[in-house]
Amino acid sequence: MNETKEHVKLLQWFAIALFLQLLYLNSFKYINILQDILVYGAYLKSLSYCKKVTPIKKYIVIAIVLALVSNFFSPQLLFYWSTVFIAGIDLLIIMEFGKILVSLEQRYDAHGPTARVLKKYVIVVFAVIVGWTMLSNLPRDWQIGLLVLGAFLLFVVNIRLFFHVLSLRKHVKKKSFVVTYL
Amino acid sequence: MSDFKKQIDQIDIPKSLHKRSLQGIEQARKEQQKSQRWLPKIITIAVTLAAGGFIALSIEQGGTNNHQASTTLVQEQFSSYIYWGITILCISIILLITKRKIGSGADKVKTLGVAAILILLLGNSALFLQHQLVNPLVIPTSIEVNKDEQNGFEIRYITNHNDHRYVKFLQADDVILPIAYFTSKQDNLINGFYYPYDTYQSLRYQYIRDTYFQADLSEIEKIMASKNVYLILSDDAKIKAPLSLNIYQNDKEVPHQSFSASRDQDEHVISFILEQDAVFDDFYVPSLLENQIILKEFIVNNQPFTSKNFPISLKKGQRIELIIQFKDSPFDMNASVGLSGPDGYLLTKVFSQVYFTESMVKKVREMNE
Repeated sequence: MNETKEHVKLLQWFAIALFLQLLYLNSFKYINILQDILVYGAYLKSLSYCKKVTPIKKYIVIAIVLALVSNFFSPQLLFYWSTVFIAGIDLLIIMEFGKILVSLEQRYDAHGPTARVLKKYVIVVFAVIVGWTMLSNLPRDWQIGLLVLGAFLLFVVNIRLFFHVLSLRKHVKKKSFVVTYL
Repeated sequence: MSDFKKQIDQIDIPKSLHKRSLQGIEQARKEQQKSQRWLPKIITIAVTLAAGGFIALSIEQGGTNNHQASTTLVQEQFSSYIYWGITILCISIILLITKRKIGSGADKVKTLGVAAILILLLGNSALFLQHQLVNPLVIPTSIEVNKDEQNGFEIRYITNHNDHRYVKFLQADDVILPIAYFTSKQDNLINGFYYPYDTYQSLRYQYIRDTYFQADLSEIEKIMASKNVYLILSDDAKIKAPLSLNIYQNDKEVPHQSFSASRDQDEHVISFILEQDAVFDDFYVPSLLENQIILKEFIVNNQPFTSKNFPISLKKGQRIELIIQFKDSPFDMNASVGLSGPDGYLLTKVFSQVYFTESMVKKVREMNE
């Protein structure tokens, strides 16, 4: 497979992973593991088209262990910790993928707003995670409000990144056609 | 073209050049990995510390279930110090690692971000654990029962939000009373118990839950004679119940009409109209509540008096109004309050269930000591 096709595949699987994150199956106990497997599976598939060395695989292993632990043990505090940690690890994964996206963007002269989109993504998700660290000491109504607000913000930034990745994929694909035609 | 190729092939490449390029590639790879290696390490350390904390917490909770509640407060204070000690230690370690990593050229923003999240998480967790009860606490309760065959009474207790145990029995020496239900709540029974519908009030960290028991007079007398009354939870854990029962003595009562009205959370107004002449020389409250309820003042003929004015002589048809004050220690009561004297008692039943706030939970802890 030539390099451009590999890059298209990488972006395609990354977009699939982002799309699967939008489904919010994790509101249901045990089904969230299925979602994790699908999302992280798509990340790994996407990574298989990239030769760059990244710590993403390690993050994925930690996230899966945390998801399993939080599903099968139920102390209240563990729920708060795993919620924050899983969101944090997901952010680290996206930041690593962000580096790959920026390098692809430079390679194909996309002049796209990847850095800007990612900066906003990181700021919003970081703010959500900071808010979620305080869940354990909030009254029940505030907890639910903060969780819902956080989930909504994550949804918004994820969908923005999803569309950005789709457009980048389209651009890379277009470039590959140009090369073939010439 | 072929000449040019031949010329290029003829250029002599020094053998050390290949070695040097390999060294360069190796060096670059090491440097690239160096900046990425620290993050999983911090996460691993934090996860390990957190897991250790959780295990310690769960062992402690499991281990203290069968202990008696008298040691609860000491354990809670002790664990509170442990939680904050571990937290400060972890925060120091995180700050140290963060400083080192920034010094060794790691991504500054990312390192500070991870450190900030971990510190917030640890601080909030310590605060959360500090407010957790090791064992459920029973709200001090004073109940007065009649000499009837069957008497019912309600006891409320405080549990952590995630404590899914429920009360099965009340035990006092050889008397075991199974939990009873109001007929209006029968629809809410789940597996024979009405948890979680027994939640009376929801606080930030705890629930106030209620239980209801029925007992005949002989059982009541046995409970009164018993020094230790316990509530037995669904996992057979015992929690001490500061319960005071007494039997209403209507034969010693001065005939009267009584009216009771609550002025606010802390004050009650009780008024009596006497049906015979009588002298009263003391304020009467159940023994458990002697220091919790005080007589603020009493009004006769629109004239306010205090307990210093005892004894007081009242005529038939005269009206006396008692203003009683609840000190801010939380307790539940369904018992008689009034005046006592050589002619008998002037009593009326006061029913009061305290509306809880966070600080009151701490006071119940202290009262259970």
